[in-house]
Amino acid sequence: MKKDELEDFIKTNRDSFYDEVPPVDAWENIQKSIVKKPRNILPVYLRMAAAAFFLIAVTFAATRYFVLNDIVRKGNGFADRNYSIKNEIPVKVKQENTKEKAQVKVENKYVANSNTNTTKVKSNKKSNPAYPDIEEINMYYSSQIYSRKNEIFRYVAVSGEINDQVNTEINQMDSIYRSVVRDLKDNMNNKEVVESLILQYRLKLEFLDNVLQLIKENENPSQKNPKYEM
Amino acid sequence: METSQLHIHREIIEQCKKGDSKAFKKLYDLYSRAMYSISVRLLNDRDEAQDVLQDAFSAAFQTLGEYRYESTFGAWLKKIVVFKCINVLKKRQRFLSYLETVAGETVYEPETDSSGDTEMTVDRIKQAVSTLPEGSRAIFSLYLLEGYDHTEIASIMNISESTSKTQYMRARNKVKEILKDYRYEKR
Repeated sequence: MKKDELEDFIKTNRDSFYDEVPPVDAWENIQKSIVKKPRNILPVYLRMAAAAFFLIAVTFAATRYFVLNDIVRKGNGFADRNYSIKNEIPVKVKQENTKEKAQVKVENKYVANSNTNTTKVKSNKKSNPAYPDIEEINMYYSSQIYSRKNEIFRYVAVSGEINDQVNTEINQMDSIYRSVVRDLKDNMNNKEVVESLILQYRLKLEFLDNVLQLIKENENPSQKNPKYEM
Repeated sequence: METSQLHIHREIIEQCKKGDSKAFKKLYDLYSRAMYSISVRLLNDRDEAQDVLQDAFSAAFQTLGEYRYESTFGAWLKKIVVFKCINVLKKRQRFLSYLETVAGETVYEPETDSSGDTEMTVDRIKQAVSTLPEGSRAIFSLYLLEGYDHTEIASIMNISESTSKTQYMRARNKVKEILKDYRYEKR
């Protein structure tokens, strides 16, 4: 290959071909464009760390919010919890209580008023299509409680004080029951809520059984329940 | 050792990556003349060359985080400038103009060197190159001054390698002719 004088000349004097001086304002314009993008100054790992921290914070906050809400709802609810802590009776329950007492006194049949329970059963019918068994549970426990209440009232018909106390306790339990029913509406498929409902019924039954036991013992102190002897 | 020689401005580049504005200026001062010269040569227009220079430096500074020292900074920046210039040329007209075929010309073998008859200076060569059609001028500049091979030029300009070779030879011969004419005109 023959040597080319033009190529040689250009290669030798290459630097001389780069002597153009850019205008002064070129740098000023470039500088403006650099200032517009300060985000590149922050290192990538710092940005990643910030994003990770944000995600963790959001997850933590969300978990806290939902878990706490769930706990509150699984408890008595704010309104119900307030009065149960203070051992107070809500106005509605008080009205029911007065109504119940009046009915017992007027009719003098010593039969407990089962209005509250029937209402609850109705509400459950509406709210629990996912749990057909819940109706059976309601019916069973309602009838059990109803018969216990009647039995107690038969024994304590003479003493209005005991009657009032039993009613107060039962009504307080009912308020807890109502909050469970509310939960059931929100979480029809939640096994925990159904179990909590059954627990409420059992507690009520146990309480009534205990009261009945005490009354029986007071009536016949010499007689002992053979059930507990065995 | 080789790497440090290749990346003589590594420290400045790293400072730029951290957002040091003085480092940006240093880098600009080091490379702006060369980049502007390339732009002027390829575009034959100083205003457009300034626009390309600004765009190229802005783009380079903004994407400096992606620069991994795989080539020299100058080569990396030059590629940005060249691509921007080619885009400007293509915007001017859809198909770049080239020197037309000369009957009986050989494609790959260099022609007999007759440059002994010519008086060569940098300015005259620059003047002669500026008269070439834009496509041929770009190929001539990229090959002889910017050091790209024909494969790279073909890729940058979206032409075949043989076109690049042919056009380079025609451009070189044309420059020689112009230089020779200049000599005769002088006489």
